[in-house]
Amino acid sequence: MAHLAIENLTFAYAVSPHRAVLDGVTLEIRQGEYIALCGRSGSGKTTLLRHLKSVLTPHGVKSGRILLDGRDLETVSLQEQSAVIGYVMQDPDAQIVTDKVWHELAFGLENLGVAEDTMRLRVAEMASYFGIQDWFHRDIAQLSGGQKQLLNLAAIMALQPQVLILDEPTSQLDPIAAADFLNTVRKINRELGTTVIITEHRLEDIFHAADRCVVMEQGRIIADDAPRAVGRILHDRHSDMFAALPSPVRIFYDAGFDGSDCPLTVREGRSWLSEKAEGRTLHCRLPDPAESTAPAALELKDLWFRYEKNSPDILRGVHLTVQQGTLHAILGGNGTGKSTTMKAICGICKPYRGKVLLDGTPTHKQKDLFRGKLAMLPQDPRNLFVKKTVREDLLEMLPGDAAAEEKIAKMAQICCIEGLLEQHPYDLSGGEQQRAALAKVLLTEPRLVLLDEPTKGLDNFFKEQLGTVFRSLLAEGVTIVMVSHDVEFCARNADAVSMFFDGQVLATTTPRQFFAQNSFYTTAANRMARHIFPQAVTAEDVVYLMKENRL
Amino acid sequence: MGTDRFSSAHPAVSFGYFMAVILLSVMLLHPVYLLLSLAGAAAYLLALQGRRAVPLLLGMVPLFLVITTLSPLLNPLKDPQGGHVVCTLFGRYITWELLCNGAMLSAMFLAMVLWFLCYSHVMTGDKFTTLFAPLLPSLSLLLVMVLRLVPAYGRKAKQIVTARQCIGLGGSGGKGQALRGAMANLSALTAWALEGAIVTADSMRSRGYGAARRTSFRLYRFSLSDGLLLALMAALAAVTAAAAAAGYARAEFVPAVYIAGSNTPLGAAGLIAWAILLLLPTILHLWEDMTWRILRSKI
Amino acid sequence: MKKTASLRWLRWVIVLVILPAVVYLCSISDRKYYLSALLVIAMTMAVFFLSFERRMPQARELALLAVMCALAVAARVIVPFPSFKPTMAVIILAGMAFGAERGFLCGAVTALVSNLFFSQGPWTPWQMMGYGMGGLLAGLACHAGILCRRPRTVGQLATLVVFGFVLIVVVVGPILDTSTYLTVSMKSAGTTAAGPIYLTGLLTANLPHAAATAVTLALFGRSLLDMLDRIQTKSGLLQD
Repeated sequence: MAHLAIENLTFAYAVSPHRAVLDGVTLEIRQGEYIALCGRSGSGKTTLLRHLKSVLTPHGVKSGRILLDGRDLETVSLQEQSAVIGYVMQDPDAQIVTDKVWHELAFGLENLGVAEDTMRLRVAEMASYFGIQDWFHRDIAQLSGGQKQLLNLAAIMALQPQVLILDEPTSQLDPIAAADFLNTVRKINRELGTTVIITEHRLEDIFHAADRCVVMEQGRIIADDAPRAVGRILHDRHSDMFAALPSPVRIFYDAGFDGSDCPLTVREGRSWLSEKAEGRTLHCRLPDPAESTAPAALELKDLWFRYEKNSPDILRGVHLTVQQGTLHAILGGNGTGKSTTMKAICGICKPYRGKVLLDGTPTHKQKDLFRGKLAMLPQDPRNLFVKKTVREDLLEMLPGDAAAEEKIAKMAQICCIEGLLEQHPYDLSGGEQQRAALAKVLLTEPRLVLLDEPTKGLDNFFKEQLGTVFRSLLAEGVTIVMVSHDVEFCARNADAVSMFFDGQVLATTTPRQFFAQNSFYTTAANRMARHIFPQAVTAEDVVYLMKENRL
Repeated sequence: MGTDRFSSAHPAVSFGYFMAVILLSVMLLHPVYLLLSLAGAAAYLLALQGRRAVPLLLGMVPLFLVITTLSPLLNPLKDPQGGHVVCTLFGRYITWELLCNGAMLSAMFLAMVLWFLCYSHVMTGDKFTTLFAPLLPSLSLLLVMVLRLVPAYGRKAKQIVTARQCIGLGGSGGKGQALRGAMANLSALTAWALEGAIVTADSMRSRGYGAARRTSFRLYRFSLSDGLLLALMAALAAVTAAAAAAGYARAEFVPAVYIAGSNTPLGAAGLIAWAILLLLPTILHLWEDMTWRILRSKI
Repeated sequence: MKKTASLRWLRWVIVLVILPAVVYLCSISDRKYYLSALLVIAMTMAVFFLSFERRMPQARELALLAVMCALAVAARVIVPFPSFKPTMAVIILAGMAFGAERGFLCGAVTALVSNLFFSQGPWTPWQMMGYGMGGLLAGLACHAGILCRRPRTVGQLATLVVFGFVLIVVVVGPILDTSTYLTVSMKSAGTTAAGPIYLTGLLTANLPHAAATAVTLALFGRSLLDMLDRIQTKSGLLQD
């Protein structure tokens, strides 16, 4: 008997009862399975997951049923459901209820009325299993995003659930914390036999590890099979979701192969490619785009910064030149000074040594810096929303402008938000919020736009759209500087890449040179193909070279 | 956080102690009792904060003098009722008696302030909520949630201000403009916070909030020695209160000077019990200090 | 059920031992007014707190109240003028949107927490009482139709602003001043002048406070009420 069974589930929200968000979904999940649920934003993933827990089920018109061990889920008591089904949400911050780590671990147990002695044991057990002992007594405010999400997971595992549901749990984390988190989920699944149902944008990390991969499109399940088979189904259907699959899978199919030996991981991809290339002499040069000779839009000269007189330096002599009309990406780990550099450019942080030159003039000597010259899109686009509709929010940027409506219409077109202007900013999805906030930023008509991790939490489709918006801006001569952890996006879209480490810029080159010389900090496609095609950085590069060489 | 035996005791002990000492300090308006209270509070504050407390304590002296000299103005005595007149101010007679009365009131006020400083040091937010969790579970959960949100909002507020500055909405211009800007920032913060409330509520319910009668996880356990300490404090407070009830802690300056003596066994016992009660945290602190020193010298 | 038994025991101790002892001490002490006032405050708060407990608040109610209290505390940080206190405005709006009882709770908890972050003092219970009464009265006024839950016209907004101003000057401020008054007044010292204390309080603290509240209500009131409306419909929350 299936552990969890969804039988012909159809659902529509009360506000629009004729648009089915879930449309005849049938799915069986066995005990201990690890299931990756994929689909574009708005495909109904989250709605489906929320139906697996009665208290989170949204209001609306519903038919079909869900069975937990053969019992209708609606008849399973709140108390039992709370313990048996664990649910981790996207936002690491807002999920936390109490102010101390120890209290958060105990919160669920307190709710279920567990006796104090049992509670002590369970909390101790969880703290040890998740390596939380060291920060057991800390305030929540002192934790990093990764630690918070790990705490959310531990707080749920303290209830000893049989099913663990994770709704994009790593979308707000940096890649290292995300990998850590997903490894822990793997470990729980392997060591405790907990059933795992997870949705993720970053399929590279979970696709190969899943027992089954379920793909949703417009409220229906279009594929439900082992990962290798799902890759094939998506390719055959020409689905949007194919572009979100891990690079080895995409390279395999895009290079014209078909069959059962599709590689899923970089390791499999390497040996597959080696086999294909064995004994062949290959030409592997890719055209390097001509070096830009445009004048410098932004120059940082020897920036030094620290927060207080006696605190350590955050920036330790940053030199950087950004050329006009280029997309310049700044990469690097957490705490290396990337975001501080952005703040220094904006004058929010005042360097105690060094200069920031914008179009050749020091920024501190420029008046109205944020009118028509410079603007920054914050990491969290929601920081910019203050009104009831997107349109009102955009109007805030154009007080007393007679041509306001025209400007907004034009900007909406550039940022692909024409249909969203009358909506509440908080009703938009992550990618839409990002573009609406970008529109607000761009209404100051800046020549230089700074972006702080613009692709954070976006799915592949939204990233593509954002890339399109960037290209149309570059075409108008706008310069873009972005801080990012997203190696794949930078490889595809950037004109120049700088690596930050320890408060300094280590190197600035083109993405091709940059990623080709790194062996670890580089794209999956490059890691897979570097022993054959050292210069290939994106999946498209690899496919192009394979076709050139008739592999 | 538990820097000594007293501040690492069960929250009930610390809370009970501070409530008793502060309430008694307010009631026992008697120069000797108040001086003892001031000394006890100052000593414990020094024990807790070390040298950092010195400027604060020195700052209390001018405050004491100011309150004392200003207090007679509050007593509208139109005629000097047999007092010793010092001078007249704004048509009022300032008498020695009124000044003494004022000195006593300002001593009481300062004692309260100092004891509350010690209280804030010892009774952290989590101790307070732990203490009231069994009695008022929902309210103490509410308190815990607010304690978590306030620092998070502070940080978010800073982000919002920066974010808006970087698109030219920094509120440059006059005060009115700055105020409008601040209200826009507050709007952005509120919208974000309310959206978070829905997630938090979902997270609470998905972890079974409301499914059963809540129990509470307590980091602090009530040990035998906590019980003994509490009993000792209760006994000392009871003796003090008994002496006070018998009138040994009364003092009046207006209209005539009357200060109760402590020359009977009950009076003396009350004064001694009060002194021990006040110095108890400091004694425990010093005791622990000494033990550590001895332990270290043996290694 | 062991837990409830021990609580019942505690209740008897409070009723039979602690309350009589406090009442007795109040009656013999020179500071009977101060102590009996404290007692009144404690009992008022106990009534509200216990009814909140008895109602077993839902997760969403707790989460929303927590957000409003935290906003009221944090609002002080976001305004660039240190003496400008928008706290009471947020409490008034919470009282209007969530009802009188929750308004009281929001005010009392805000005062308690803001003192945890700044400093506790003898003023804490008074402040809890004052802010709580502010929230309570705003809720009642809204229920009675004096205030409009969705102010659309200038008149409705003006009523709200004036209400906020008067509330601070007449209720919230004087409650805090009473704390000062009772601290310095002694039975034996004859009648203490209340005038100078309340007047100083009015000029130095209450008028600026009232002005800040009125300004905040005028600039931010409508927007906050709209946001609360939206969240209440979105989550089916506190609709009674």
